[in-house]
Amino acid sequence: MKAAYKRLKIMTLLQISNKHKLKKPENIKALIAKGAIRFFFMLVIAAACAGLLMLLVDIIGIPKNANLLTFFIVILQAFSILACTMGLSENLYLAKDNPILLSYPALPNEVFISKLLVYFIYEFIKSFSFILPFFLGFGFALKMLSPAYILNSLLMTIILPFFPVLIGALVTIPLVYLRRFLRFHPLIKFFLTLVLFGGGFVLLTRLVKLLPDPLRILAMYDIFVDQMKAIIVSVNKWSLFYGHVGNIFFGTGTGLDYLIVFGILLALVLLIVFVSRPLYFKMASRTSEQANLKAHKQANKAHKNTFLTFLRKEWILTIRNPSEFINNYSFIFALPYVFYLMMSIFVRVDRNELGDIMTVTFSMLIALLMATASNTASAMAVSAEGQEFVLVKIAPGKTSNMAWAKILFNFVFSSLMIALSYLLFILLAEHAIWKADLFLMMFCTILINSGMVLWSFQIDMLNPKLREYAATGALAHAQNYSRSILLGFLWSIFFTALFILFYIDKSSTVALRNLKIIASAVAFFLARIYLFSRYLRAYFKEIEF
Amino acid sequence: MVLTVLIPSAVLLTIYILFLRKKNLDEKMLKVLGVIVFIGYSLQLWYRLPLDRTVALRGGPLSPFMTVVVVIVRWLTGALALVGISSPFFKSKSFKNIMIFISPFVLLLNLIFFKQNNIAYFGEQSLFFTEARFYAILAMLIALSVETGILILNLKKLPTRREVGKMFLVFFLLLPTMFPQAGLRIFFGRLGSVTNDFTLVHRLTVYFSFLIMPVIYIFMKNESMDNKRLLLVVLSISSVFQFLYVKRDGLAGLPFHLCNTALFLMLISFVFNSKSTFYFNYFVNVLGALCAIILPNISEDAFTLGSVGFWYNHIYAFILPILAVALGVFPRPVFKMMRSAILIFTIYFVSMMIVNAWFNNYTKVDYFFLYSDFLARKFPFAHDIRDNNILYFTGGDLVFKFYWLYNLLIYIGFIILMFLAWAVYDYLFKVADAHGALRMKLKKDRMDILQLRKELRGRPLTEPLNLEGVNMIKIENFTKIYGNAKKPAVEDFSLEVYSGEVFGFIGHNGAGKSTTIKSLVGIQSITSGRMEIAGYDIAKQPIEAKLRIGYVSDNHAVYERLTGREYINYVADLYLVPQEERDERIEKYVRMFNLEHAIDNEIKSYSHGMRQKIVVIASLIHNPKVWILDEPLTGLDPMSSYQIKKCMREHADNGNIVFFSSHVIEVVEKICDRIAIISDGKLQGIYRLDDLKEEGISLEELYMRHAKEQWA
Repeated sequence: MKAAYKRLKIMTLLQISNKHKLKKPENIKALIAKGAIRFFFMLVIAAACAGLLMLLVDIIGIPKNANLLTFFIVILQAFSILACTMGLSENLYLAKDNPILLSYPALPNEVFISKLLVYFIYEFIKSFSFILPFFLGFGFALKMLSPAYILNSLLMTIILPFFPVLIGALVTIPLVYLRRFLRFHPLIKFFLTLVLFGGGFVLLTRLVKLLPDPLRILAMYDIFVDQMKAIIVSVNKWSLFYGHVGNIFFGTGTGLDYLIVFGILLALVLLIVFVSRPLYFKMASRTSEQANLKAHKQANKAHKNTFLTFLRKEWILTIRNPSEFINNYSFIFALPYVFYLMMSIFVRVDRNELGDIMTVTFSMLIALLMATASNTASAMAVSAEGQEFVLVKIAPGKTSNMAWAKILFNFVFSSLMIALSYLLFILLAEHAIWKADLFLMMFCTILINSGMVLWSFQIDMLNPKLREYAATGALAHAQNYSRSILLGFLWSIFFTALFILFYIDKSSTVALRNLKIIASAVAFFLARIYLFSRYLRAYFKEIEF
Repeated sequence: MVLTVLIPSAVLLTIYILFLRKKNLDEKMLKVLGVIVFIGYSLQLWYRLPLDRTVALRGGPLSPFMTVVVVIVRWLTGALALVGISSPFFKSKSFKNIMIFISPFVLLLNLIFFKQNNIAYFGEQSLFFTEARFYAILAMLIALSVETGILILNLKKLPTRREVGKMFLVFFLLLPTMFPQAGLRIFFGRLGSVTNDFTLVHRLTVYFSFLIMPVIYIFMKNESMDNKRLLLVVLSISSVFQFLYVKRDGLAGLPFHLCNTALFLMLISFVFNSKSTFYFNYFVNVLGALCAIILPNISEDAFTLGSVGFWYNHIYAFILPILAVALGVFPRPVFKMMRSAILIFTIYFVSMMIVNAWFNNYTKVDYFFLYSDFLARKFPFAHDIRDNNILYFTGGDLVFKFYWLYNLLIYIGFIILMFLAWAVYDYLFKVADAHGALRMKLKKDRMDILQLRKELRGRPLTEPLNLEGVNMIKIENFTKIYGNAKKPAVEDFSLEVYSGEVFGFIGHNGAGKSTTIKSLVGIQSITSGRMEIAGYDIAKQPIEAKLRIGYVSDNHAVYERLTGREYINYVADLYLVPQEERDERIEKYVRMFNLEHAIDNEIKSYSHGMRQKIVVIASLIHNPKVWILDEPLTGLDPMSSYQIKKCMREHADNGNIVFFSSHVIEVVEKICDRIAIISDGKLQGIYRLDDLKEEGISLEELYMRHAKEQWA
């Protein structure tokens, strides 16, 4: 038993240290400082939650009862369950470390438990950092803070993280089977994707039709509050055992509620032990078996242009790995939907001139935020080459063309999607929206996003993670990606603010204003091209594996 | 009374200049005179009424022409005073030349227009001697004259034409810093526009505030540190003069507003090199000044004293700290500096709360906008907070009123802004560094190409640098150090491999084999030394060298989603292999390695050996002169291993070079002509296998002998 515990500990720490640098605090001072900072942030979160709840309860008039708390718990848990299911379906059965862990002198059961433990630790940290301050803020806002309430909060901080991990571990089983089935039946997968997208659009149009026309937000205030109350009640109806967690906090029927919560926890553990655990080894070991792929018969063909060679390679790799493509461009795929929804709301709202300006400029903000968040492919373009980058290094010729080939692909696709979204927006703008301005914004969005595509690539080129990618097949700390998103976010905000300023500045004529808008977008794009080409010339050849 | 002091002083100074001068004393005397000029000019500004209240182009005590002349004389005198104050403390040649060659003319102008100038100040000639400021002007002019005299007497060599040009340029550039604020009004009257609400005038001023920094930076970046410091001292002195230019009455006129305090602190920082006051300006005041520039709280015509003074004040407060760091006069801040900035800001903040509460018993003051509702008006929610949270203290007849919560919120807000400023500065530093490094890198690349052209002596860049080395691999004194490692991975390694040879490279794990090979094929950089492939330097002529290399890496770098054929074609495209040759070679090698059944499958489905074979085919697709293989036989089945060894021998027999690394001594012994043993980054020896055989030494014995020596 002791040996099993030791093995579990080693494997759990091994997996955590693979993702995060574990180090002991240098001294007691540093430990206290870290603790103080964490405590301060917890206080800030608690205060923010308390403020938000006071707003909800006192100003909007949502009744303060167990339903409200249950509503929040259900929402938070739903997100956690979703995250755990997605993460565990990869981590339990498809992770690259499976062959290594399974080859250790440990039982597959122990590997399985260690993987769940890793997720539980993450969930617990999340719970301790966010859920506990939320409970405390909630108690403070509703004037319920008592020793019993605080004790219950601490208990639930430990208990609640179990549910998403255990539920996630159970749900992953059918999910992985479904995934495998679809992998071997691409036609069904294609139709399912089509149905999903189409269904989403149909659902969206139905939802949109429910919106009143004209949409008067202030007049709808009472309806909104009533709807909110109704949603809270209906969520509670479907909240399963989470309603009992709410009751525990409010001190109603406590004994039975504890019994039910712990009973469900026990039931989940038993399900994991008797259903999920025995299947684990079978499912995890199957994924490392070789897949038999079908042939792609082709003749040898020479290309004299290295750019076209690289482009062709990118194209082949993309079409043969559609899931990665969808992952990379998920935001941009969602853009037309978001635009459609946004447009449908905006055109129904009674707007003044400032409202029109906001509609136009915020269309660009949303498009830019989503497009720049989709620049994953560029922000990992060099890193994702992994050890294959060696080929580029040994190749004679202008290998920096590889960069342009990768970028062109991103350019064309994201620009097309932006244009498509705007055209949809403009097409639906039957009300008095300034269509010319939307065209202008479309043009600017494409230019600014293209500039950001170059910038994202530049970030990765200057700090490539080739070895990390080659070793794990993924980037655990996708710094370049995060930096690219952050920059995209900041520049999107900057350009939106700038364009709003141009619009509200009445000293310029419309032509001059439009010229200023186009000139700023063009200047940004040209500056990025210039800087990028210089960086490419100087540093691409310096990248070392 | 004052005259009785001034006249004997002037006489004594004259005697000193003419009879008692000594070099050491001269330098000290010049510094004393510089200080007198500073005090004299400051007093003159502090005591006088603003120029535009006494002088106007029309309707003033002087004719329009004389008014213009007086303004110009004062402007030139102000600029000269600036030079006179700072020149003794710095070694600037241009400043000394200004004092020697321009100063006499400006002083002469002062003498000629002495009466008119003073009428402009005092109205009537009879009032001259009754005003203390008259003596301040007199003292300053005398001190400037003496300073000029000493420098003229010390002049040993006339300046060159270039130095004269620089002198005029510097003086010309100093003029705007000392422009008499009333000048705009005197020359042009009212502008008819208020500099706020993002009007055109406001925007131009904002643009100017931002553009002037890079202009000064570009102009000064290559100057000496002494000149950079001089510039900052001069600008900070002028900022104080421009502040004093506007006479402010009563307690409200004290320089306790953040940007006013900052001007004085800045002067202290630059003159005494005080870091704590400087970083207070850097983190606190730049922000305050930026806020003021973007949202100015003035409602006067743009050419009035109040307006011009406001802009001078805030533009100086905004640009000087940034310039000081950009020019390297003060180092980039570390967190300790931020801490001391917060401490000084806290002291300043609390002091202003107390001073506001105290002075408002006598008159209306609002230092740092802590007392009035100026800020609360901009943020409506703050009004209630301000009015509902007041603490009162009484002391005698005085009542001290503290808007404690309102002030606390402002304090917290400013601290947050300071941290934001830190983040922005940090980001800008990184951007500046990155661009600096980029410029240097591109410059180095250009220099390298020029050097290569020089070494090729007029031959085309595509020709080998070493014509004698066209049939060999040549490594000379190669050293590779990774990152910041202290120990080199490979040190002072030299080797030559010739056409027709199969050359084995053996050594323990981590000996430096892969490092040498990776540098040889151009994957990694070379720390020092030289590597040539068929006469081409891999560092200087990478493309030409790589065209002649076929490389099999130790990690089977392949795109798994491509088929074998697509992958080989991809590599063939990179090596510009013509269609016919690639068809022929692909067919030949695919057959040789028994890959016909798998060549059109995705590489993802290949076994280890199949992948290795694909990499080998790809490396031979352009029939390279030099074939380099890193651990090519690891993990291969006997058949695959045999095929690759056969291929290596054939390639060498065709007049090419085969260079490979391996752990497997038996294989090396069997197929190599010569071998090199590397251990711990150092070459242990090069041996011909035939010689070893003749001497009856097995390669294994030799290797073990080296290993023992190395670890002994």
